[in-house]
Amino acid sequence: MIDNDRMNAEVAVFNFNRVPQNIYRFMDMGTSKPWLAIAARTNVGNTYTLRIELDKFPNEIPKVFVTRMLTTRSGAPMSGVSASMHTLSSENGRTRICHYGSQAWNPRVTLFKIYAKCRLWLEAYEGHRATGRDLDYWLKHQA
Amino acid sequence: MADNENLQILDEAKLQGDGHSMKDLVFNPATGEFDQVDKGRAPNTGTVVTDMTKDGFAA
Repeated sequence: MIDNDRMNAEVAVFNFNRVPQNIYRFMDMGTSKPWLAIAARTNVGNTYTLRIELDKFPNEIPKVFVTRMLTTRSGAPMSGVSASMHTLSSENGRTRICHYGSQAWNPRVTLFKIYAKCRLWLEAYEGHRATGRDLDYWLKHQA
Repeated sequence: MADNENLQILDEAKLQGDGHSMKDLVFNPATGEFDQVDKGRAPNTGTVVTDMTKDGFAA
């Protein structure tokens, strides 16, 4: 589980990268289910909130959810495992983003990198909504 | 939901992932936007995240 030292290090990385302090908040710290709420705005101006669960971070890959159920261009909920859409099984009505795989993961991966990667996923999601192409048209699979 | 700029960024990201781009992808957290700069050139603002396109996504 994330401890205060790691949280402070993550905040320092956010600050170094000029992430505005008013777009994120560490939630439920000191409990068994800490998480990070962080806003993301796409290039066309749509906003989303990401929920990054920190109960096993940094030793394990954190679950990342969009705080609502996204839908495909055809209107289907993005609730299941999909390689072509880079999603995992949803929980509590939230679309789950598949970002890092186990082979690419190590405890030094920062929340900023996860955030930037999921921000790119959101850009591809909007590309899917506009064109109908699956996300892996733009976002390649990890080797 | 998306405009031409969005698709240009994505197409560039695709090229970068394939190793065929002369551009780097830059994420500017202060504005929340992605942009591009010529490869190897330091951006005025933001962080180069081209490696993310090369590393790929899980699942």
